[in-house]
Amino acid sequence: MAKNKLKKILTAVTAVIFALCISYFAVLPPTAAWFYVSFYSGENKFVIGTLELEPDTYIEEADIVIPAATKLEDPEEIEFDRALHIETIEAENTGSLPARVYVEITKPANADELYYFLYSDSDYDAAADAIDPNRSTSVMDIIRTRKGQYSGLDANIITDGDATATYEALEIYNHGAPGVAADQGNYVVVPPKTKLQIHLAFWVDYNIVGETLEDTSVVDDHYSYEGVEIVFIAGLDSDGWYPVIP
Amino acid sequence: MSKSLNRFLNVLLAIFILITLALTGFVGYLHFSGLKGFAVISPSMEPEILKGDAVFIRFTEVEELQVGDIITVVSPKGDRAFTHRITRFDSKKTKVYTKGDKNQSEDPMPTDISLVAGKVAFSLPKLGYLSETIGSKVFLALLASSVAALILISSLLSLYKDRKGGKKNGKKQA
Repeated sequence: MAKNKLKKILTAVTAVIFALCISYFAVLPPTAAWFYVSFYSGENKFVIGTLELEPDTYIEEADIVIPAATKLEDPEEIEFDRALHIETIEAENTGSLPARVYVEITKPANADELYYFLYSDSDYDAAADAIDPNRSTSVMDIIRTRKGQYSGLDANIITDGDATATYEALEIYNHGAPGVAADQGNYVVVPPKTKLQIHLAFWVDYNIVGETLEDTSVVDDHYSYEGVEIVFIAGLDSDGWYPVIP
Repeated sequence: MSKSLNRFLNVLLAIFILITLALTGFVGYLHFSGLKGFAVISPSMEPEILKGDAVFIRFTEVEELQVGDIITVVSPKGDRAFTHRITRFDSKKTKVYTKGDKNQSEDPMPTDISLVAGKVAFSLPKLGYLSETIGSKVFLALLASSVAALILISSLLSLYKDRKGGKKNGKKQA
């Protein structure tokens, strides 16, 4: 009987000490640091160190439906914005450092006429400051006033009347100047403790499809692209880490 | 209870005691040697230190810190910490630049040397998951339910034994 009692006491004491030891490790403070994961395929958050950038909605594969073809380089084009398909994602940075968001688009095969531009709501104000603070601005205005991301380029995207130069500049703007390590293309900065709408504007280049510009108020959506793959990648607001090297 | 079952339970108890003794010894060593532990919750130092590992750091004098050391930096408030590798110092060794092994570039800003909590002495795999798991609300709810269930079962067993003991006495008296 005494032996059994001793065994019971020993078991209880050992269990308590064991639980205390486990508790010691269970209360270890966390150490986290700056890193990034890409957002894709069901994952709906970016994690940046101790920061968290969570999109409210996310786009995995989008069906892009565009009402009409248009011309980015045409200074007389006043219906550019009406020919856009815009995908929007809400990103929230709950951390204490600014985050940088890049985007990768995988166009369907034989969709060379499809182009895109990444921007945020704050870009409307920036364009207005550059053009006329008293008038409302458009996506065309944003593209028109935007210069190369890398300060060494400092060139406007749009060259009036020259589609070749315009789209070459757009390519550099979107993906970075070849051979320039510091230039990794366009991105959106999400400030700390901020929620931001990030937009992707898609359009079809009239020069490639060669059809007559249509009245967008009477025709149904004409250019459809199913399953356009959109990947957002977020990280520190600093140069050099993108594209992610596997 | 059969002898073989009794022996088996005794062996289990012995193993449990040994494990607990080893754990206690390890915790005691950590505590008295000045080592401080952190649970790694990000993969920025992979493959050297994996997410879910636990790192144990020891305070190191500034003069002894070198490029390549893995250090833990604590925020001024002490509420956040990160563990990265030293890439360089400023000229007076008052600031330290760090980088996660898995990151493509250095951390966005240098850290004041006074915020360096220590240098990583060693890491243990998977131990960091304990704090993540046990701290979770689901786990705590399950634990509370299990404890409540155990207490209930124990009480019921005790009650059953008391009643059985009472019946036996009743029979004897009769």
